[in-house]
Amino acid sequence: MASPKSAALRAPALQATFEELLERTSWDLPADLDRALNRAIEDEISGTNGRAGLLEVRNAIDHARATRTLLGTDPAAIHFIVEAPADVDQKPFLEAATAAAVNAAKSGTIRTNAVDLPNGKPRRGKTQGLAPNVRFRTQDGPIRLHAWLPSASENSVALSRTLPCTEAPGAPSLEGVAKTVIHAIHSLQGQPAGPGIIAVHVGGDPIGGLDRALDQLLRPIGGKHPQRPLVAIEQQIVDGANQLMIGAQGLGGRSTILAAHVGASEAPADCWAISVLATSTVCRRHTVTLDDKGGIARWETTLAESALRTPKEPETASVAELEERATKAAAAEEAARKREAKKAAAGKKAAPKKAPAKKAPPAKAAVGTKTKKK
Amino acid sequence: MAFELNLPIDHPTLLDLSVGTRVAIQGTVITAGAEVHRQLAEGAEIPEEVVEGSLLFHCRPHLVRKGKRFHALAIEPEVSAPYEPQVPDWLSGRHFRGFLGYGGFSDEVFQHFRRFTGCYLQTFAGAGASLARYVTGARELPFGSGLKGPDAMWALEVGNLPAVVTMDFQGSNLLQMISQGTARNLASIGE
Repeated sequence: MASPKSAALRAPALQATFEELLERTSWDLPADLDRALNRAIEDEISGTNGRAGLLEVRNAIDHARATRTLLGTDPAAIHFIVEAPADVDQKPFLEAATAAAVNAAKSGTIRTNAVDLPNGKPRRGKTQGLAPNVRFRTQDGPIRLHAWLPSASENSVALSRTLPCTEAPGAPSLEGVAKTVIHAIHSLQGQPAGPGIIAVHVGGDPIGGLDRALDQLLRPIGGKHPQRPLVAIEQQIVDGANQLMIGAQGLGGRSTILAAHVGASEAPADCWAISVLATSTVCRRHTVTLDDKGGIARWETTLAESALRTPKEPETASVAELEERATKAAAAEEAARKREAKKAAAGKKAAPKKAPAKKAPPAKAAVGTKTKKK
Repeated sequence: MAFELNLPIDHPTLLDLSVGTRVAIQGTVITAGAEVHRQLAEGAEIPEEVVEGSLLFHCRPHLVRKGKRFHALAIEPEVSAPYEPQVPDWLSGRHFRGFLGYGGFSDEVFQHFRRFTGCYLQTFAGAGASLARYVTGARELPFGSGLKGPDAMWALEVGNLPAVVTMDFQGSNLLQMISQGTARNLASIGE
């Protein structure tokens, strides 16, 4: 018998959700990566090749948003991850994912040169484009849906290591994990088109570990860590990796990675598997929360609509002009921060004695709880 | 300030290109993806339009036809390492004096740059949509058989296409220099 949650889902709403999520993921860099890239540009040494690379990628991201065209290279795979209670029927999700992938190929949203292997024939008709990979994670609470579009080569890399190892001999430890991951980042020398996210899972086996590293990839940069003891290790990896000075795209500089996300599970006491996923700056992923019918209740990873610039024609600017703009924008932001701080300080001085506490008004709807975006 | 690199690359210009130099490429680049390389290896002839000193771009350009002209949607560099086997022949044959892509070549191939005077330029991966802005025109070249769309060989007219010289004819390899520096940094992190 279908669970109440399954019974409430409507196939058309679910399919529309998958299509919209897939379409948006193809051209819109998520907000957390956007902010992290801006910080990297601010921190990078002016006039360097690494900074030029960051600015050019920044431009590509803005262009893709403005024109709603594919960001980065052709995807090699479509990944959907569904977080739902155990009693939710998986079939509607599988059907919606497949239909969304076929429609995306037909409409050209997902530009792909997919062929069937081993015969090498182009994929047509009902199997046009890329067949989606759909994973299910059992979780109580509202249904959440993630999409990720990696490309074949320069967009993501997977590595496996085991503790103890040459870089971290002796009994396995979190310190050893950090050291090993920094060595792994060094071996990449800026691949794949960094700086991006380093997603790590410690424990289990290498194959299962890579699957679970994907969960770390989907965590937003700067978000709350579900395993607090690992926060320090993440910071250690970021600091160590950026001290390497590999820089954006391996051209030298301070921005080797944007973030490190580490998760851990059980492991044999004397042998810890470390599974590492490394992505480029252009990491195409998004997350939505569904409503009862399967429509989008909330986008969790997009910029506010007001932040989406839509110029009629994409701008053409030289790297020097982009550098100048980035410097001016950083200076303007800093000036605004100082003004706000001054205002806040002035407001505190003039504040009268506190009145007795009044009853709080009814809570307004939280930002971002709009239903379906246009 | 970027060095203006006019194509085709003549010998005196090549002598001016040293690793780390940021360039703004002007002129016609020739694109070649996996299928072009495969047919070249099988003996397909390089079109006459490809003049001596050309720049070979490891790329499968995404173009859309608007009337009689082609408009670039995305120009994304490919990793160059898979295309190494033909590099020595192209350098010695003089058609191509430079290569544009991502990630450079191995030492074994790189040594031919000194012998035949060549250079390697790296442009920015992940920025295909932005790099497309620098393409002012495109025409498909008569090459091989059965190649369509991005897989065909294209002559792209570019203005100010940004790239960095990462391998020069004197034997300097920027990526190797950075790698040596980062190895020292890695050792000091461990201390």
